[in-house]
Amino acid sequence: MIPEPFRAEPLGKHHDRAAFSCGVTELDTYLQRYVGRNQRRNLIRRFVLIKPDELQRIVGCSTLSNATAIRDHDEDAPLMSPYPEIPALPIGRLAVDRSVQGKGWGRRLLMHALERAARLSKESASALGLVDPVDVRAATFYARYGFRPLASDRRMYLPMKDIRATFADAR
Amino acid sequence: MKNARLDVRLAPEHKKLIEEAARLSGATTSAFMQMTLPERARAVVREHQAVERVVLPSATFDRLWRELDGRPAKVVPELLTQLRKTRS
Repeated sequence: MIPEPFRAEPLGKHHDRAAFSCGVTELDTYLQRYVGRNQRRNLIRRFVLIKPDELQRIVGCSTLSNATAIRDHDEDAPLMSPYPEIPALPIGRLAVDRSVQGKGWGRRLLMHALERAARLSKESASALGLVDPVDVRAATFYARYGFRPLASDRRMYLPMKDIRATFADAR
Repeated sequence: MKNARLDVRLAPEHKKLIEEAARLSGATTSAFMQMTLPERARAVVREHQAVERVVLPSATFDRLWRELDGRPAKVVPELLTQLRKTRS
């Protein structure tokens, strides 16, 4: 899926997290401070994009996690769905190092994450792909892939069945 | 009941900036901070949930449910285009 000279793999101890900088402090801090510990505890899983000639160098990253969309009890309208919850897979904190930005690596990372999400959802139920853009530019980026706003907040979504159908069609 | 206090030192230019932002939103500096800080704190806490809880208004949830339940799966044209670009 991600053609050379880059490849994606799960974040490991040998990766140099301190050298990574995407320009958004929040995302850099997250990678440096929280990821290692929480990954060991099986609370998160982060994928990184590396250059095969610099195996420790992180040039991009993203996280796949679990979420549940919950229907608020703000109205008495009858429930239409069997459950008041919908399982979802958020693709989070997608970031590309400043040194390689603007070359389509964000697109490749997103495609890689969506492909894994589509595959995982065949074995562990998940009806929605979610993203949470940090700003307008990020929202424009996700809109290019068909992500639509959830209306009530800044998150955007794609039905998982449509993601699977698209990947099946492109095969 | 608003009886807790939080004292912070900040750069003079940041104080000015906050005061200006408060003025622009038609709030006092105190009210502005009482409103924006918990908002930001909630967002950070939310982002650090292992399993995120996305609470949706019932109208949004029901619209989403109708889309998931009420129609067959379809190819997303934008996604397909980007996918082909990535694979070629």
